[in-house]
Amino acid sequence: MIDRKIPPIFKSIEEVKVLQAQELVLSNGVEVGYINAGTEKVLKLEIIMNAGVVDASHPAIAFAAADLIDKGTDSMSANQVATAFDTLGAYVNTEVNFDRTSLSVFCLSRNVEQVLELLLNVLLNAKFPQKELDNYINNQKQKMKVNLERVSYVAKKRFPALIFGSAHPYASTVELVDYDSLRLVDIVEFYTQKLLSKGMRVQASGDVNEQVLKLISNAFSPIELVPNSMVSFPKMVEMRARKQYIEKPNAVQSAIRIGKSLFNRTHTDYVKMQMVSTILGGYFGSRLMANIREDKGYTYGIGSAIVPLKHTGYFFLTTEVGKEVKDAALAEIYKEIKLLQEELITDQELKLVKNYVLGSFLKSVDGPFAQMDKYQLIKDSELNYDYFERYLQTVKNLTKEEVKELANKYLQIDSLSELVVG
Amino acid sequence: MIQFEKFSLRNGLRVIVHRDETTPIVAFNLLYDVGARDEDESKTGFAHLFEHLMFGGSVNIPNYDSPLQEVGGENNAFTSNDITNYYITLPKENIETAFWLESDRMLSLAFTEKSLEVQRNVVIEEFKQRYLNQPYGDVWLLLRPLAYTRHPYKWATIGKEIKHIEEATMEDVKSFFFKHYRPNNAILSVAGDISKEQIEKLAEKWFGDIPQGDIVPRDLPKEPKQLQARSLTVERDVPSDAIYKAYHICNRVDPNYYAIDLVSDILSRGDSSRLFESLIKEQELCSNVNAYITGDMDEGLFVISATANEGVSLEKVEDAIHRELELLNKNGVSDLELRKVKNKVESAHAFGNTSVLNKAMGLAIAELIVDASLVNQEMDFYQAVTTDQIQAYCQQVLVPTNCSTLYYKSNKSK
Repeated sequence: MIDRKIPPIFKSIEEVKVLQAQELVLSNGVEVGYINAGTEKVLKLEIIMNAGVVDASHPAIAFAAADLIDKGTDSMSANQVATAFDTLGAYVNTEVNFDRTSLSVFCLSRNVEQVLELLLNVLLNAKFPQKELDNYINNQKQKMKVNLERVSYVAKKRFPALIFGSAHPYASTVELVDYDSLRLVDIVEFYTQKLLSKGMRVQASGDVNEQVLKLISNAFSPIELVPNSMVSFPKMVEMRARKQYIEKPNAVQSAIRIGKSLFNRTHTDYVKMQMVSTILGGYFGSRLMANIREDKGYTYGIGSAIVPLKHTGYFFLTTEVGKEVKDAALAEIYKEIKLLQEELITDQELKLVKNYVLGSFLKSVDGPFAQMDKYQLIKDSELNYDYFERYLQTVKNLTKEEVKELANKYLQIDSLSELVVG
Repeated sequence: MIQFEKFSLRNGLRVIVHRDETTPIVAFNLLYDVGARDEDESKTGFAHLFEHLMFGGSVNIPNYDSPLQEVGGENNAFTSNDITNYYITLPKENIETAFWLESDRMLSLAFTEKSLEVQRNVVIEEFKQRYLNQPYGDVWLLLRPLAYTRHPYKWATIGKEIKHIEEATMEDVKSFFFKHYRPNNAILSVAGDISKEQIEKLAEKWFGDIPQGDIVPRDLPKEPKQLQARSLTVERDVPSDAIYKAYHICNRVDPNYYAIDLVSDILSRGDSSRLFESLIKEQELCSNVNAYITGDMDEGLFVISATANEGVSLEKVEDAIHRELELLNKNGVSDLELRKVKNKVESAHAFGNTSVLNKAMGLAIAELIVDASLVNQEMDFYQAVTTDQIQAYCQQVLVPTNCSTLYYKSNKSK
């Protein structure tokens, strides 16, 4: 008979090999990062443009440009573009964040030549038809009206202004009325002056053989990019912590967001604080989950994270709780933060979190697409692959004293802003 | 092609092994053949509540999550109307921990009052967060009982009402467990850089001595053929009117399943799809429109949903939907359209195969449907669908008498 009370012997992860992307720089300065790996005959192509929400004169312009870039070219209607990609079995996606805009496509290897040709046509000859803009505006307004009924959406939307100050670029957000003044000419200008500017990068992952690489380099070498006019970024000012309550009379739950502006990956304490945040609310067994969900049953979920941005970063925790237990939940959240500041974490818990984080990291570098995400991470943060080695060492060497010290240094209760919606 | 090997333990546990040497991660997927369709109508939401209780400690292991996190693993689970599925990913060196944890939960749970009490609350909050405190969140709570009169698909996985969850007793919980959570009612699938011999040994060691259960063959009431259109109108605190139209379709093993799935793609997958082009772009009636199948094991639903633009009546939207369906029934689909959606299914499938977890899950579900080899045949089944088959099947199912319609109106539009 086996003794089921005794866990099997396990190995801690000592090393994680991160497969590095290779790079080539085209004559026009476009950098191509590529990873040729994987078992399936598929690949992902991504074009990363060096402008995002903060680079537009209004955030609505950046969002609209990203959405409309594949809605027609000089020679093709929006429907023709969509039909062409669909017929090739390709999945196109555009994304925009504060700092960057990306246009990406997943496709089968056998169609890569045609997909690439189409993708380039879309990128360089985007037409931005007025009708597509009208349609976009209508749909976005409808979507936003629905979203504004969601307490979690409202909390997410209003939170950056609370921690960065409403005038800060990272607090800028699109309001319903902004759609009424959204003009095509501004979108086109953003596209020609910002999206098609120097600093554009290309990423290819999956079945990226020599021939694919040649296709990419032939496709992107001739394109001309305008000089990049960087927006000057305001210096971060320390914001006084604030509390805000937005009432939603019919809500049965309240959304809670608590946090503060912090720093990004370039800061020496970033990885350590990421660990502190993981202990607090970054995984299923975290203290917040264990207390607020698994012990009290106040919520379906609660979590915390550090969000790295290009120029700074922020810490936040988020949950939705029954309206009647909102105050009790808040008290417990602050209690958990204080506990991190007052008591040393046990060796056992710290070991568990380290192993968990190392396991997640191992998983996060599994396969060519995940590996490409890691490449993008270091490019976005202007780091190099050494970062991951430092990351692993920092995780492994973190001490319980450091956890307490950092919780005190960065998570003082009176430095945290609090937003409740509902 | 996903290569796999299969074996069974004496207690009836079926095991599937897929080797993928390229990854340091192993996926461990344990599927129990029990879902909301197996619930008593007066105790709904139970399969899902039970999924939560599975994390409240087992007979020899007080905490499920910690030991897994300690070896660098992650897990989650989901419940549907058909199945309850538990899955783990972890470093391949630590695969035995998954066997240890999952086998102990199958042996028996801790069944503590505290865990029941807390998870009841968590599920009630989940009910509120996902179904009540969301605009249009209760659509499926309304649409299911409209579309189904007899089959247990008439209630949602979360349950018919919060009360059923509040009233769950320890006795209910225990009897549910021993009725359904037995090795001969489960399928284990493991994918990663592992061998069949290794998995055979571990399966025998950890699951081999768990007694099999007395599994009563499922005998669910068949949904009678719908002969007349049904509808329900509700008014809610939402910004826009919306419409939901549900048509009864075949079950998961019928060849027409693949045909109707492709029809839903032709209608609404991507910006070149018919409904998107017609209702959103051309006629500007809606801000979003969707067609999809529920993908159920038993006879499921084909659903079209649309949100009306301001000032556009639901009647007008419905007329436009009807016109599109009539067009489909009258003229069928073109070769090019069919080729297009088949290509998209093919690339989605290839991308799915880049993840060991997807592969493990796919194999277990396929084994439940008919046989694990289905994962390698499905692409052929999709390819085999013809334009004639599509037209014939659409004419059969996409007709008004086979439809239940939910008119979900905004109380602000007055």
